[in-house]
Amino acid sequence: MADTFFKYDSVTIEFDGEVAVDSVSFLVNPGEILGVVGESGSGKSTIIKSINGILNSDACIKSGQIIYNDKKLLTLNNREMRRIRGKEIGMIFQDSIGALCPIRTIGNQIVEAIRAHERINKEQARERAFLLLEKFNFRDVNKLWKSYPFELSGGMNQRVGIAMAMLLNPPLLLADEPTSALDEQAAKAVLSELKRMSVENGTSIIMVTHDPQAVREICDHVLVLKNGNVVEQGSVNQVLNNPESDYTKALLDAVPVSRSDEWKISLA
Amino acid sequence: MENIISVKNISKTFHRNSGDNTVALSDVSFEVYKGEILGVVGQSGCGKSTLARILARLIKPTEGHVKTNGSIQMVFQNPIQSFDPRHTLEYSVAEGLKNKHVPKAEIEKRVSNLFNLCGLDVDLKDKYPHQVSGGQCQRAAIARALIMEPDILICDEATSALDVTVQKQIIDLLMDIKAHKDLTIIFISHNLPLVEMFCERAIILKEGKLCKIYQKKTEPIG
Ligand SMILES: Nc1ncnc2c1ncn2[C@@H]1O[C@H](COP(=O)(O)OP(=O)(O)OP(=O)(O)O)[C@@H](O)[C@H]1O
Ligand SMILES: Nc1ncnc2c1ncn2[C@@H]1O[C@H](COP(=O)(O)OP(=O)(O)O)[C@@H](O)[C@H]1O
Ligand SMILES: [Mg+2]
Ligand SMILES: [Mg+2]
Repeated sequence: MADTFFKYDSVTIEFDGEVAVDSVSFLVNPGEILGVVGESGSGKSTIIKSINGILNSDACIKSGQIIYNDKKLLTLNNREMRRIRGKEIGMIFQDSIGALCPIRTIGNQIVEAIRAHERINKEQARERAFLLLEKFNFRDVNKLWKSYPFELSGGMNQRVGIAMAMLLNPPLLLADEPTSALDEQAAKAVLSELKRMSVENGTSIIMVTHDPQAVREICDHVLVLKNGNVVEQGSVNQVLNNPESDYTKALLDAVPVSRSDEWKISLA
Repeated sequence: MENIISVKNISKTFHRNSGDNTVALSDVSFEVYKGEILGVVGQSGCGKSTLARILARLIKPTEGHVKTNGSIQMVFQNPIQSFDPRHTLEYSVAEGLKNKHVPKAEIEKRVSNLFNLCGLDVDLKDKYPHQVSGGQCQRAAIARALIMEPDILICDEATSALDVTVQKQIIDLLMDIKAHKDLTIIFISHNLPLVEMFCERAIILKEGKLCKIYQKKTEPIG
């Protein structure tokens, strides 16, 4: 194994001369889950995209290195990056419908995605996919399997995107607000599978989230961003129990809106 | 109380390419009162967006009918994708009015008013959707809906893709707009605390059926 599994090292990124990520550094060890939190526009998505090499051409990486398994990602060409994306570094997008092919069934594209990276037959791929999908709170996985993305709800597409990224079993998984479109029960199911993946397969996960509960439940470390700068970082316990700044406190303090005393809605 | 929408026994069955049918809504009836904020909640896949699209007449119900007493605009979950990437925010916000042949000076005035009302800085007018934050883009989406002066605004998970601080700002914005305009809001969300804070009534959908109607300060009715 390489000395450093993943290192984001003093990276600065600008858009149009404006700094979006300002000399940010952090490490991720195998099997660790890093939560990335910060207010809107603080640079979270820009960091995630820079790791996967999917920043658009407006972005200018001014300095720094991104190291994955001894490879300097910023020096790789498109072809080399394509080989890493998906199988080595997986990605769960904020908008999964964009990541799915509109004209092929969910089942076909999951099977093909797995088989593009691994030598297993269709039946084995299907079996593995079903094992995971069954855990994601779908009403009918058989029906889901035969559906096209446009036939699914927003939350169903998001869960399919998550499953697809997880099924390739990448050593490093990037997730940009993976549960934002999900109800509480579905979100819980997804988070616990992500946690299981990191514990059982040693997957490292970098997860952008605006859900303090998710940080508490599955992350080991947390990185707090503001205006492209790291406000603080450390173990979840340390940062949650002893936040250094009011900014962090506000971000991670339980819930932004608490349950009303005037009425309580329940889905049951 | 005056009804602005009345939904009578609507069902929606989608016929899929695979031959499977999906009953997305079944025999749903309810009323929307003029001027209220009605929450629509339920688990992922329960039929919320299908209902929204039927109310906005983007799709037809398989059975039943909807009587609407006013114009409707919608705000969607992913603000950035709901804008055309080739146009500036100002262009997109004004677009609906151009199609209605409103004079240019009037359009400019209304765009400025709405940027103001929605808490958008004037220098954001020339920006493209990917150049602004999700929260700013959602404000622009609300401005784009309101410029058509609808009687009814449907927000389909309009705050779900935003971080919590911004969610609160968008709710505050909607409340502020509500105080200035005669507007009925249908607020679709899976965030129960947010619905409790923002809405006055809420309908709960479960697997396509209306299973409960809640009213603030009372036990479930219906
Ligand atoms: N165009 C379509 N063709 C076929 N089935 C569809 C179509 N649109 C929606 N459905 C199905 O209808 C059901 C309800 O979907 P809908 O989008 O209304 O759910 P939702 O409550 O908005 O869920 P979410 O919270 O995940 O957005 C789902 O089973 C979905 O697969
Ligand atoms: N393609 C782009 N062009 C110009 N500015 C951008 C672009 N993408 C992001 N930015 C800017 O970079 C900053 C960080 O954005 P982003 O990483 O999307 O934040 P977050 O994900 O934390 O909300 C913001 O100021 C945003 O406006
Ligand atoms: Mg983002
Ligand atoms: Mg929906």
